[in-house]
Amino acid sequence: MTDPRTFSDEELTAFLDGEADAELESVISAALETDEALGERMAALDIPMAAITAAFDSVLADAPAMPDLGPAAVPAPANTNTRPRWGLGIATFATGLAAGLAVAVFTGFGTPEPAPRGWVSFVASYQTLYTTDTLQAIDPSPQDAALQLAAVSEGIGIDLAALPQAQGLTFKRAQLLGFNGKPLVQISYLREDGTPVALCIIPAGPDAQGLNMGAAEGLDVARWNTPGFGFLLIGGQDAAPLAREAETFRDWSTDIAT
Amino acid sequence: MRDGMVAIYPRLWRYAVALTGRRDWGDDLAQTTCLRALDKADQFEVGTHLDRWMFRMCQRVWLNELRSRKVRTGAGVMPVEEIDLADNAPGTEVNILARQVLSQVNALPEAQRQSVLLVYVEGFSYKEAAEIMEIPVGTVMSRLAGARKKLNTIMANPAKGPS
Repeated sequence: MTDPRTFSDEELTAFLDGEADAELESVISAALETDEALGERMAALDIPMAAITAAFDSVLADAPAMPDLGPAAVPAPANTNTRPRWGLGIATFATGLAAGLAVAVFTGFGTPEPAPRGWVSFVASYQTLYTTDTLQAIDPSPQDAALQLAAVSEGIGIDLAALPQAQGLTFKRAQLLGFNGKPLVQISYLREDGTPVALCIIPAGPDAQGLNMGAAEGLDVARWNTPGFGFLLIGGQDAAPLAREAETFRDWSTDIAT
Repeated sequence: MRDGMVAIYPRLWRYAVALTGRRDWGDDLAQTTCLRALDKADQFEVGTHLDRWMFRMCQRVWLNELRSRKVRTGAGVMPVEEIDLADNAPGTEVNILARQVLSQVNALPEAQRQSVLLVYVEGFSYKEAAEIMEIPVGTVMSRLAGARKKLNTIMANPAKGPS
């Protein structure tokens, strides 16, 4: 880890966009811990993403309707299969939120801030805020759990209905978050000993990658990829149960990917 | 197909405006793209993504037909008032900021602007954006890296940027 690898702006951009593969992501994350100059370079690539998406959302509201292009002398295919734009269902709510964020981000931009980070690091920071009490009181009925999983399945494009139960983990909540314009699923569990654990899924590159154990923000993490998706199981400071749980989820994810 | 196009049209129009850098050209480009899509509807593979197919067609129409004609007719230099994408928005603080952001993104070179829209606004992956723009993934990365650098400079130090 002592070799001072130089990263290109393209690699740093991929890292910021959640498009770096697991290896690059972990090398950059590790380098960021010690390399101040790298943090500065990363900060020089930071842009107010929420303000940009909010601004372009306002353009969408401005768009004209499709003009009448005359009778189409073409057969209409039955399935036009439009991209399910994630978050469209919550778009109305999100617009207000994004507008608020735009102001917050914009006015805060340019002031010294910690270096921007990749998605795993964000998830890890968020996860450190969870305590046993956060999740203890949440006790969804099987119907509620199924509804939540169905909703996030639609958001991310993976069917989570058959998500396995990992031994020792109790399902608490499934929600759809976002990272740089991508859907990010977070499924919260409580381990028998009270440790909050989360399974996170984000769209990723086409290459599958095996299970990798590591740490982020002081929490243990297990990562792997299937074609198109990155998976992260995070929580606690005990790698042994996490690795076991990760294998259960990994086996399931590999099965549904084929 | 037509219903799908109607649903996609606002996004297509926004893409066309970002690609051309002007609302009026965006109107032309989005409409021409729809006509071309209807012409070539039989080439659309059912079960694939209509939006990506139309976005790809939009770029082809722009590069092969409209851009040279627009620039040749003497409109190559972009008047400042045309840069504003959201020109009928009420002047609330948020909208002023939104307009400022749009002008700044619009001041990027065409290829960077296009990549920013596809990846950061539309949420396409690098690979999907590369397929839409018909370029290698590495090129998408370098366009985005370039866009990030420029936007960072402009947005952090408005005085130095073209604003």
